[in-house]
Amino acid sequence: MDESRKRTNPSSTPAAIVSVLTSDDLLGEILLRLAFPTHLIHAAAVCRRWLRVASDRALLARFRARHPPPLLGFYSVSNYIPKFWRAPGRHPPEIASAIRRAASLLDESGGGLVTDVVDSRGGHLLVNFGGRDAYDEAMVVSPLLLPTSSS
Amino acid sequence: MAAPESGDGNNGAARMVTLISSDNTRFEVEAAAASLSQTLQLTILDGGGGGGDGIPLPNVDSATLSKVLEYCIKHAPAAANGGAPNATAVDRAELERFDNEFVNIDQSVLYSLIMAAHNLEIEGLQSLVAKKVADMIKGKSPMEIRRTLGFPDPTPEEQAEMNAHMLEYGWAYE
Repeated sequence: MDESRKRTNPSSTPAAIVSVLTSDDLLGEILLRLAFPTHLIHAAAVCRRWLRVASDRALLARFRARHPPPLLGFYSVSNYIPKFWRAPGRHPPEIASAIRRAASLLDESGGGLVTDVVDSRGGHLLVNFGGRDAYDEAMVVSPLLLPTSSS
Repeated sequence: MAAPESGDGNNGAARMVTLISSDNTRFEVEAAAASLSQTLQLTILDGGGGGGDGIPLPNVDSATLSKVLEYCIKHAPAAANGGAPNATAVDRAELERFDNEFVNIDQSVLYSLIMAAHNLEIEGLQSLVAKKVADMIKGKSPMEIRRTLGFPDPTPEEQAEMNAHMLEYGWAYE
């Protein structure tokens, strides 16, 4: 497994890379400067330690303050027909994919069974499931965290 | 600078201090520039580093120190203006140009610089190099980030964890 170490590291500073990666403070400062939450998620997958640093509550609070979450859109319901209104304008790909996700809850791929969006908090939605004639069932869903299905 | 002489000790504006790198090279630099380092600031305020004494920096080699001081000398005037609230747009643009150029360097130099900025606690430089690394990894997949930063290849276990994480946050990879 050590064979990969032969790559790229100039012999003068083999220790430096390790040093950079072993200080949590330093890593946190780097992660804070990523531009989008998606970048932070990619970084979190790099290894266990990065996941721990990227999941730190204080760091996430700072990240949020630095990069306020954009409005992706909003849900409205009339006559049992819920609709997602995308935030207008052009969005960078990182945001556009989140918007697609939020909208997909209400398409066929999302089941098409949501009859009411009651409330939302922190990316979670309280919805009613069931057809017009069926008995509705309240449920909490997180559109951004739904497993990728057909789309 | 023509700032009013206050607070800066009693040795006048151009007081010099000597810094000694890990490989024993001596660097003479204005106290105001070296004081951008929080680590050195107290020593310098106490009158250290003057005369023949010099402040030893056992963690910083001469190539890195010379690069660090290039930054400090460039940024000292603005820092002396209290973060330069009254700096002109031209001054700020010039500093920004300098900063961009400054981190346009080899990875090995960058990593030494990161460590030095961290050890010497030079806030502006820490922020500049952290931004540079962030720019290097943004928009990359976890695997690409590992390659970019010279991680060893992931173990099968690490690979499995990475895949699981990517599955869980599928939307972030669309």
